[in-house]
Amino acid sequence: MASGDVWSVLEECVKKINVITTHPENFLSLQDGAAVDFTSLTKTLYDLLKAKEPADYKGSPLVQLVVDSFDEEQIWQELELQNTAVLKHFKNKVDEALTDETLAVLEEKMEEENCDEDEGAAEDEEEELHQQSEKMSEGELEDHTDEDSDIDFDVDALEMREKQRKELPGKSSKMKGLPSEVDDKFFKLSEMESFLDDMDKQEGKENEDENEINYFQDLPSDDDDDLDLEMISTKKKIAGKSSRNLKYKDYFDAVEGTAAEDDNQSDRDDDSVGDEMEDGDEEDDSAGEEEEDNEDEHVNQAKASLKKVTFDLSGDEDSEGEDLEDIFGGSSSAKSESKSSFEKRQEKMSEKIEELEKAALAGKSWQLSGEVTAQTRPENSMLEEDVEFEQTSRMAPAITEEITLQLEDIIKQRIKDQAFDDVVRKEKPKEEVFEYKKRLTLDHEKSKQSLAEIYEQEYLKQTQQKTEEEENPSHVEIQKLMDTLFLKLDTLSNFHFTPKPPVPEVKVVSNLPSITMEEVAPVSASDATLLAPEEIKEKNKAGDKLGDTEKTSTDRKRERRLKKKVKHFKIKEKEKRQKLKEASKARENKKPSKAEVTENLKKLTKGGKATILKDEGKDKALRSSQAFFSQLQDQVKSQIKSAKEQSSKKKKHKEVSASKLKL
Amino acid sequence: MDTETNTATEAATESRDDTDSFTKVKSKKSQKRKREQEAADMDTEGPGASKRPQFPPISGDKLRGPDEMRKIAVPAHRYTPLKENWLKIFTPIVENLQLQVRFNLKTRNVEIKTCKETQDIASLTKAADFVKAFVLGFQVEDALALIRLDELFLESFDVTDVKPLKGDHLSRAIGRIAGKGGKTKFTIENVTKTRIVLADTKVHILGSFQNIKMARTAVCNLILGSPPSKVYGNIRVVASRAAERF
Repeated sequence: MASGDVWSVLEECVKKINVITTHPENFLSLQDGAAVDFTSLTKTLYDLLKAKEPADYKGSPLVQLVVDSFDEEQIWQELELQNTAVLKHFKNKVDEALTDETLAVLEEKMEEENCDEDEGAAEDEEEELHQQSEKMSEGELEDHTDEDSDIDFDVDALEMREKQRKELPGKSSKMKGLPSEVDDKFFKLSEMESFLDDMDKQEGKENEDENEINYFQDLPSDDDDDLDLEMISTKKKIAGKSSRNLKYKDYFDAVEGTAAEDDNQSDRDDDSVGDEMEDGDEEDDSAGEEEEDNEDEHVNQAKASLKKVTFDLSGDEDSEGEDLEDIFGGSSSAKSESKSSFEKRQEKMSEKIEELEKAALAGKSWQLSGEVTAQTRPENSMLEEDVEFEQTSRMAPAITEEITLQLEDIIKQRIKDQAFDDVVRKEKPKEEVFEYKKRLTLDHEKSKQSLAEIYEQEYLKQTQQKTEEEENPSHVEIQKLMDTLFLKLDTLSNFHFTPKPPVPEVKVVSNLPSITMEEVAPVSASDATLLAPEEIKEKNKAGDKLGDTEKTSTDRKRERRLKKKVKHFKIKEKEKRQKLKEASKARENKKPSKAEVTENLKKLTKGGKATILKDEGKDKALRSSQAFFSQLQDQVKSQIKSAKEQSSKKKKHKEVSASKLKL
Repeated sequence: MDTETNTATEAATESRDDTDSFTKVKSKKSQKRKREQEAADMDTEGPGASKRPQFPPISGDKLRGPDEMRKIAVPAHRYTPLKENWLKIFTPIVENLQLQVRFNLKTRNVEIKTCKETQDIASLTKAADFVKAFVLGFQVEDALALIRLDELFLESFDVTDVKPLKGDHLSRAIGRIAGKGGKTKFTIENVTKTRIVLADTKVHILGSFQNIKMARTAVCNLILGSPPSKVYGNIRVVASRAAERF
């Protein structure tokens, strides 16, 4: 009855809460009305609790929660009184429960749980709900958003765990299915396959997890009591199982169905223990305000640490871990199936971001890093590159059929026109001294024209040249013809003789004695010629020829040098001619002629390097080979003798010196 | 002054008549100018109402300043040649250059003066140069070229300037320059189209700038001691090159 009342009251509270929290978006702004409701709710719950509390319950001295005209802070403090008192009590209880040897692994605990649930179900539920409501109220009094999320997660976690419990039996049944030929007492093919799949999934996740550093993950610190509690609890749990009591199932996975059940149950126990732990954590957390924010990580960590601990200490790393992983893998796989499109997009984005970050942090490729020599880039890498560069010089014309045809046409046309681009040999105009002199005769006399006249003439020449150039050659010809014609006409028409007009004639002076030209009859013979001697033969540049006594040393030296030069030149010419001769007559006459031979001999002996051997009238004796060889022998002997004498002389000298030294 | 005013008015009337005859459409501007001109004509003495002072063009008579004069001293040994060639000297000066020339017997100077008829003031320098050249020893016809051509110059230098020679060496140098019967000198003159006067130690060369240079080089080489044949060769080469260029 009392419980029924309590139940009804709780139901009412729950209903109220649900009503108020239907629109959580309202809590973005201040809701004074809702706040009042919540405070009243807290009060009712607190009073209920206090009413139902057992006598020896160490709670706060406050029987009722005083809310009227009390500040939030003051209400908090009241609650804290209750919570701190209760926290200690709960801690001790939990410790006791852990250390209690009578409490066995799963079944008894389950029973205990059930008992607990039955007996103190209301309490537990009360407490749970109370805690939840407290949390909620506290959360609402403070910031709404953070606490809501935490609370939501906790609710979710609880739900998840319930699901898992439900799933466990289902999973175990699945695993037992599909018996294959290879299956053994120890081995099951289906199990192996499922294990491999899960490991692949895990690896995929681990790869993500390993590379990423979760910056927001709370690393375990020494101040966390909860963690210590967990460690202690786990240790205690395994310590409770002494080495003697460890059994096969602790190490190895289920061989057959029965063993699997046990394992699953043990797993359940683990889970339940974990859950209890987590409940305890939650309670503690609820008591401790500070740890509420970190609850997510704690829960995760608790799971993770539990996982790790079971791995390491129990030794059943693969099996138990695998089972746990299966469970959690299953949960994560369940999550991946139900991922929202937003989540998928986020994943893709994060992947892209990762890639970009990698690329940005990694070093630049050689293509992007400035000047590159052959040593800094890989071999033949430039061949695969498309390089752009400007070419300043004209490209060689690509030879195509069209171009060749065009060229050939041009060539043919040129041949037809006989318009070859032959190189014309340039010839230096060799000027005879005579002609050159004639051009610029040195007048040794006083000029008959005055300076003014000279310049005048020059000026006129310059001006007249222009007019003369303009004359057409055809005009000149015409003029000539006309003149001759008119002259003839004049001679015919005129009565009086009109002589021909003087025409400038080119006077050719021949080098003959003047007397012969001017007079027909040779009155006297004279050697005087018309041309000056210098015009006949050019005067020597050096001057008059000097006799031997008149020559100075410089003159003599000059002559010698000239002589040598001339000689040298002649020799060179000769050699050239000889070479040409030999080259042309190389095949014709292999034997050199006598003259050539004598010349060669002379050349060779000149230098003194070679001497001609002259036989000294021993021809007759050398007619026979015997005689020749005997003579040769004699020669050699004589040579040896002479050599010996010399050597003996030397030796004597040596002996003398050696004896001297010895002495 | 009166003639000026008359001419100004005449010019104004002429201009007016011209405008009247040619332009039918009378613009205001032209009318204004006419009025200005009339105003100017009225007040010829002072500046009057017009902003810009109107100056009629001045004739050449007014432009020329006082008469300029040049004096050229005549040494004793040129006195007789001057007397002999006096006609030939003063005729071109007076007739062609419109200058006044006289020989001052007391100072033994030839004086040349500008007069009213001289058109070009530069003719005075020309005439002076001409007389100077004659006085130095050049022939009248050769000196006449100075009047006729603008680009002719007269250069003088001493033999000792080229190389410090004394006594016989100096005489020999002068002899080298002259040559036998003046042969070398004439050769140089003919080849380089210059005129050379050799007066004791002084050498005067008359001709165009390039030619003077050639002649001077030749003479200097002779002074320095190179034989005439060499000098001939050099001059010939240079002269031919110069001739080719032009």
